[in-house]
Amino acid sequence: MTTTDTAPGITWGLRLPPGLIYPIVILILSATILVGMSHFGSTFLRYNNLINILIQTSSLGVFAIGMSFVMISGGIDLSMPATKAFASILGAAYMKSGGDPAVGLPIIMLVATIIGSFNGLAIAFRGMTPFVVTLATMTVVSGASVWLTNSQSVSGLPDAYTDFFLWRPAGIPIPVIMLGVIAIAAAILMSSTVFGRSLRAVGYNPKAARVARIPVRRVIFQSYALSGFFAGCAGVMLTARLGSASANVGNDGVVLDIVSGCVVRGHQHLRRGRRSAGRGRRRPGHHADQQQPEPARRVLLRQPRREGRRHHRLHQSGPGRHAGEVVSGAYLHLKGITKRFSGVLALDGAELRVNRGEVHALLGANGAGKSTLMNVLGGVVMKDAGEILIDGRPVELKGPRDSIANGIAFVHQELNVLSSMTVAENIFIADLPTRGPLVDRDLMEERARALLERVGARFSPATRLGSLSTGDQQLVKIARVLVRNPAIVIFDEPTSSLTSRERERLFDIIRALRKGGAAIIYITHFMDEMFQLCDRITVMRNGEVVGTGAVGDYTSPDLVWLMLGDVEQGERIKAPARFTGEPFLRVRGLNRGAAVRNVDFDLRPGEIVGLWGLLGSGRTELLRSLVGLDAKDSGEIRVAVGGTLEPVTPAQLHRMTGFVTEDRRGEGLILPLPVESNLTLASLGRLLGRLRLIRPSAERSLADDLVSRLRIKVARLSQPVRTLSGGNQQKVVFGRWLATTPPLFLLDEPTRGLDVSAKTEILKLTVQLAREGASVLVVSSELEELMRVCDRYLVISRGAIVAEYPGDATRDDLLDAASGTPSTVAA
Amino acid sequence: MTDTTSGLPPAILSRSKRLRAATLEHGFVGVLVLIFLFFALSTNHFATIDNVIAMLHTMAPIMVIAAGMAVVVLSGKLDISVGSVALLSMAVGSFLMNALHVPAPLAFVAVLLCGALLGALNAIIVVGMGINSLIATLSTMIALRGLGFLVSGGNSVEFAPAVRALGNLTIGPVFVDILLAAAVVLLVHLVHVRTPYGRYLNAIGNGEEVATRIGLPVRLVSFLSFVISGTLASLGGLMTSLQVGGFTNFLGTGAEFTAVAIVVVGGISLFGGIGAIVPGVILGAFTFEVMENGLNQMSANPFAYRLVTGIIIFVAMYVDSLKSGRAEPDTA
Repeated sequence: MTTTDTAPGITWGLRLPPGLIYPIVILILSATILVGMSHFGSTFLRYNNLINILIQTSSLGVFAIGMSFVMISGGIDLSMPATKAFASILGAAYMKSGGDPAVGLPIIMLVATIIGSFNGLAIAFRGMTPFVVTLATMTVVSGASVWLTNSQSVSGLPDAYTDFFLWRPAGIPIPVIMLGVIAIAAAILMSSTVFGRSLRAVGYNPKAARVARIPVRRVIFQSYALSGFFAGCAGVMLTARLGSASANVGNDGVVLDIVSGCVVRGHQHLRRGRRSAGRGRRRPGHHADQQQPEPARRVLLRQPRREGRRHHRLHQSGPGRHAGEVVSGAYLHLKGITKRFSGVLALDGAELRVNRGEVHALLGANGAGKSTLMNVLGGVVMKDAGEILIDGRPVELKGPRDSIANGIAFVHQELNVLSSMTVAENIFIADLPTRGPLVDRDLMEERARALLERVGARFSPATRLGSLSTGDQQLVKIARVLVRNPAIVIFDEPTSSLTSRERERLFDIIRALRKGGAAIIYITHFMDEMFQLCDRITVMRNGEVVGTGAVGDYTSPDLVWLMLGDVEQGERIKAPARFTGEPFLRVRGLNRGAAVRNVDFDLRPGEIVGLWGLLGSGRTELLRSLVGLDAKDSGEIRVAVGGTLEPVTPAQLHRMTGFVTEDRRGEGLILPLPVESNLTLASLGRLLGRLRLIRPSAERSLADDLVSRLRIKVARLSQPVRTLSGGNQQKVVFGRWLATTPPLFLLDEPTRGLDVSAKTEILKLTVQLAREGASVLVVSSELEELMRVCDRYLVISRGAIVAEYPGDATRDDLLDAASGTPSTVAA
Repeated sequence: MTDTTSGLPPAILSRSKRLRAATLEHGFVGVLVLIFLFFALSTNHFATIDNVIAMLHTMAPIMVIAAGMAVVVLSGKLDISVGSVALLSMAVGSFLMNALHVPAPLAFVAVLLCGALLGALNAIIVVGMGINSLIATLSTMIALRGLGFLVSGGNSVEFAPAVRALGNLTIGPVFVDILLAAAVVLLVHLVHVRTPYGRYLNAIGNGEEVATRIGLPVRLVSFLSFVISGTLASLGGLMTSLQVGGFTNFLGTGAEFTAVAIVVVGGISLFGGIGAIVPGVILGAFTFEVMENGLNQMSANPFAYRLVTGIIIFVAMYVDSLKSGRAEPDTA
């Protein structure tokens, strides 16, 4: 492992963060040019002139440093110049009235820091927009300044003060020295302190930072306090240079120069910040792939016995008539669709044919490519190769609009709704009826009412959408599809948030659409729904279609086999054991909304417990509410401390937990940061040396140690973690927690999206952790994975623990329990 | 997968919560009335018809600019170049009138065209190049102001007497620019609330990605929003210039901040998709005007106004954060 690679730009052993250095360099350069040009003439290159330029720039430089901290965190601080002026005025007034400069200077810095902290409080803890908060602060503070001074400058400062700043030890003026010292200090702060590292992580990905136990809001708060402090420093320097302070020195224009100075380099941070607030631009393809893994998540394998029988009955009497018809002239034909996401093959020549007047089930296990294929059809993802034929005619789908124009309607799984608008507007937004140039609201509501009745909704079309329950919002989405009588309808797991009555209503609608000649693609995890509703089936696996045919041609076991391939029941990595000792973790009566209901369980040291449930059963929410990533409503968590079980808060539990999220790229890792920083992010506190600075050697050896222990394949430690393979990325996530030696691991889908050997490695690692004494609670939608390591199973359904099984439970037991039909043989 | 519990039906909200919501929704109007009453009672001249008309006259230009800003904000973006757009457009306009002796009506049309073009420039950067709107308009704000100075040569220009008279033209006791501003704001409101374009705009403010998936012409709508904002900014600049009788290099300075403040105080959320231009922009602009005028009438220190302005923005912002529930832990 070669780890001697160093980041470019190292000059004295410190890694200077580009976010700080560039603005300063650019600022100094541009100020030099500007000031130089205005002095242009024979004097430009004279030593004194250069020094003057430097002095004039120095307070701006300090300023830019302060602004950089805020911008790295993804914010902006418009109030800095006003803060600087206000603090300087107070300090100057104090000194003018005979105060000691030794007190006056701290006053300036203190006042500025207080104002910055105020911004930080509002932004970090009240969730207000940085732009407006600091705009308001700017207005208030500058208003106060002009009011206090009547827009006059406060002059007559003590000579001791101004003289000090005129002093030139070794020919270098004090302000320039100060700028240098402050720049170095800021660079050290960014590169070698826990705060700096945390700030960078927060700027890149606040969600992942939070999971990594970084106190996100505190860090953001501190960044604003710091920007205030640096505004104060700049104030001190400027006041001394001018020998006075005035409200107009820090006028509005300066801040924008500074921001733009920072922006030249730092705007990605700002964009990132905006994105994290849910409003940024997203790369559709990539994002879709990560954010909606659900369709590809897992198949509910309700076991064949009863369902199988019902399906036969249904099949003989009903929809099966359509089955097995000749498909050569299929209405919709997806031909050899291929798609790669950053090199990874998501679709490999996928084929799908759907006739008019048929409901076509699309099945597939985790990562099979169903959702990607449907996103290609919906115009959300662009295919790399292949052809889409509708009614024998090739079509190009370059965006959702093309797709809609070709008669394709897509009921997305996630709530694609406009929450501040009315139900009627949500239904008709893409087809607004107009009278002249205006929207005909009466007609719209009338038609919406009819559609709502069709989907069985009982609320008024004038209701604001945001006030509806999730199920009702789902009905609105379905009603939206009915507006256009689409020829092709894609339903992506439409029933997960519906009650059984609403579900029956939806099935009626789908049958009506079928009767009307629509080609319907139906993605579901529920086998019983499929047999009840669908005519034909296509099964996908690893981006390819592995089987297609009439529903009647398959039995449930056939389908399972097709979906999973010839996955053998992986060998057990560890024989199940029974643990009887005192628990390490005891949870009682945990509730969070409807997602987690009255959950009780114990975990013992060394025990691996599988939390087995279907998608939407509340398994992820349970894990998240344990460590406070989602707030719990009620419930008690106790942890063994020296023989007794002490109550702890979720935040406290988080501090002793290795938490592996299901969304590795979105929440698990800070993708642009190097492997090394990702590995050490949660244990920086242990790497501190003198002056509480991170010791590079300690950090490197920790990272080296983890890399070799987990056999992470990296070229060098400075490699961005983004460039690693999925399995190696997941090892980095584990490694980060390993370094903190937590007594508890909560693993949400730890093997998701990994290849077979990587899965085995991660599971072995899990067993290793338990052997070393940790308690492990693991969620996986792949039962086979759980069955290789677990000592005990908790079955969760609709937010409640419905059954508990010992480690030798059979697959059937667990499947039955999870589908809400507790088997009579349950232990 | 996490928010399965949000969006309880309103009936479930307790009475106190409804009261709270109502206070948040309408409380600001109450406060404005109280402030108005305070000034009315403590000064002699404040609550006279003449003074109210004078206030409306003064606030007319910024109201027009804020209406344009509101269009962009409703789609979840920002346009802080409006002040510079006003300056550059007017610099062009006064150059046409004074140096080239173009007839005034033609020059006015050129001013608006110039505003529309500059808006389109912003749109190209934001929509076409995919750059964050704050950053993009920040850079055009700086660049366009510089360009404006270049066109004007840094000189102030006095308009011809016939043109100057336009700024104080009245119908009865009411200034024409009040009517113009009212018409513009109402029209923009109508566009937002009643036309497909306005509804698309609101939908984009709810979530750009969602709007894209639904199949709305997101890019076109966003593009036009900047053009509207630019056009109204230049109109506001024109109105201001006519009021003062000439072009000055201070035109539009700080207008972007005032416009954002008006929009925020008017209850239009910076997160997009929430709020209404009428009464939002009118109330917002009126609030600031009442404060300035009232403090003036009380012969308060003229500089106190800025302090109060900031506090108003802060309060409005705080209310907005309470309304949208953004104070919940780390929603980011």
